[in-house]
Amino acid sequence: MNDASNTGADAGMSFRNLIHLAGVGKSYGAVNVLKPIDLVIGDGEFLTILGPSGSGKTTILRMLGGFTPPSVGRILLDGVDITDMPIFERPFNTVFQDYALFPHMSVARNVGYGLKMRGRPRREIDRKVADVLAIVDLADKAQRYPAELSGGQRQRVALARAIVCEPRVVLLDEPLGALDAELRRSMQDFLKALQRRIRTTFVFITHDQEEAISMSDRIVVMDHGKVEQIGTPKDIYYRPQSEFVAKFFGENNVLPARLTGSGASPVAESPLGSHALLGPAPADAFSIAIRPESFSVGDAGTGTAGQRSMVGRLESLTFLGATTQLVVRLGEGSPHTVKVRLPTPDLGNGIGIGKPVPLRWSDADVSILVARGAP
Amino acid sequence: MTATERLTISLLWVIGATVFVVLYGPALMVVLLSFFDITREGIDWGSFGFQWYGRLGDNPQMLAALGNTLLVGACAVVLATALALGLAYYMKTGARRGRAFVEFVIFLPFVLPAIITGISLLIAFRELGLERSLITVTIGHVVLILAIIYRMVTIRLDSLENSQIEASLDLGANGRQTFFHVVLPQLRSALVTSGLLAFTLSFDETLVTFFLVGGDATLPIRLWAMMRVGFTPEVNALVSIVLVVTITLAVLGAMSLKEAMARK
Repeated sequence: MNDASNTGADAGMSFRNLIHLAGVGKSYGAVNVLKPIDLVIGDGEFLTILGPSGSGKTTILRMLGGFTPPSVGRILLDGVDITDMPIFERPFNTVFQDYALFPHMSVARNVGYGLKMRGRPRREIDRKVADVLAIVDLADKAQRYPAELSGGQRQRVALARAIVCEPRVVLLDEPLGALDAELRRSMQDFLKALQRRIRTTFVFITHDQEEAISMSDRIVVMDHGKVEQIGTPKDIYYRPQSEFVAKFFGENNVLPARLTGSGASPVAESPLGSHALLGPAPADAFSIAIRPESFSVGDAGTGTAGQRSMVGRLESLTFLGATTQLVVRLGEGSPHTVKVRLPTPDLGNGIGIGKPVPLRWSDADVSILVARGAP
Repeated sequence: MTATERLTISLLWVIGATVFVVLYGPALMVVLLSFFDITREGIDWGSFGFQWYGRLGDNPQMLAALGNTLLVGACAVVLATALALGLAYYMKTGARRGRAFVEFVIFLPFVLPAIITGISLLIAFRELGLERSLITVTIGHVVLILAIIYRMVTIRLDSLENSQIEASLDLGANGRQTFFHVVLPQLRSALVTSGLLAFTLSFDETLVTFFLVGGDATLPIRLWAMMRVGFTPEVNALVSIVLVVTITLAVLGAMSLKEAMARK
């Protein structure tokens, strides 16, 4: 389990701790939908909870919003226990997956609803609604009804409605799921820019890896009701800690490894050779991962510390446009192959199927993966 | 167009017209007759006028029966709506145990033979020591129309996403505010439509009423009693008025339903 206190600090960002999920878990009878997790959310952070469906990500969001009470653990806001606080008293607002706009109210009344329920004066409501509608670029649609808007516009109304009350946290439950690819990308940019502008904590749920990587300050990767890894997008991408995370984001090479050496100097033995383990030794048998783009091809430039090389045999070559993907067998008769991705212009003339390929990589690019199911 | 096609279409028109006449002929006949005197020789076509409508005003028994019917209908609809609304919302806002059983009990009087419902209610009221009166009739009508209103409210509530209620709470509204600002406005058309329908049912309900009615008769009971001594033409006038009112209500109900569908 990851250390819960690394609130983005490792990426040079510093957020004041805002929310602490302390050992929060959820089970329905014997079914454990979320194993107890520890998670600290920073003030002003864009935190993404990422996982396939059924991974427990929505459960976390619903517990934060107060829609589902946790079975165990406490939720703290600024150190104050809010676990049992009713939904309508929490200073959080939610953008629902289906937007949940009120169909019988105009856009302006939808957006002003939260302020009205809090008993704000009419004048203030009108002003704030106008301001926030301008932010989401819907000022001209104030008197329309939700049924008269496009999907993207409804989405922005839902967003406006969630931020107009100036909540401490905006909870977003896969809000881009229903949009087409192009709109989705522009909404991603919009959301990120909005979050920077209003400096409010966003907790964003998605199952889309690219979305998570491009938008987040930190990502919580979930699978089967368990946190697989918490870290910055670069951490998650280049330093996965489990096989699930390694394989969840794009192409990756996952190779089996064994522990040799012992005590103070554990060594990992893999098809890519042996390398000293810096951290604590994982189980006897585990995996390592290295990204296809972390390899380069060529003989030159050896001698740098941590640089490795090995000659493999080219099995196939696929032109992908800007890059070309190679599948290289690691030595004659070896059962293991790796995918290598090179910028197409870097391909030399000597490369051909069946010919030897000199591979180079750096030890620093190899991740040690804790075996699935290990603590 | 071939001859066969032309023949088929003509035939369909004839069938359609026949059905229309059979369905609406008697009603139209009543309306027609309400404007004429009927003598031993037949209809006196020269007597066209509103005389029977005028006579209706002089018949206090008939007017009292009409008033009773309207009163019972209005009270029964209001009571049943309040009950159905509360129950349906309660069932909506959580996984309630016994929901299937409660719904079964609600729908039972609607499918049971009216005579069973009538006798059961009569026995129940007697055991409770409740005198037969318009109150017992009203309670009986509530039992009958509850199912309709409950069903229509439930259908509408089911199409209302839970996320809307959650969104309302999330935006700082408590349960009561959520009900009045988010839930109730969206139920309005369902309530109007089911209310009109239930009122129509209550208006001409005879069998159950027959067991529960005391000294004050409702209109169907009064008409039934008059059958033994023969109808007077002012009955035609009364039925014509009822027909016009019912059609107006039905059109209003349909319009409110259509408007609600368009919004959705």
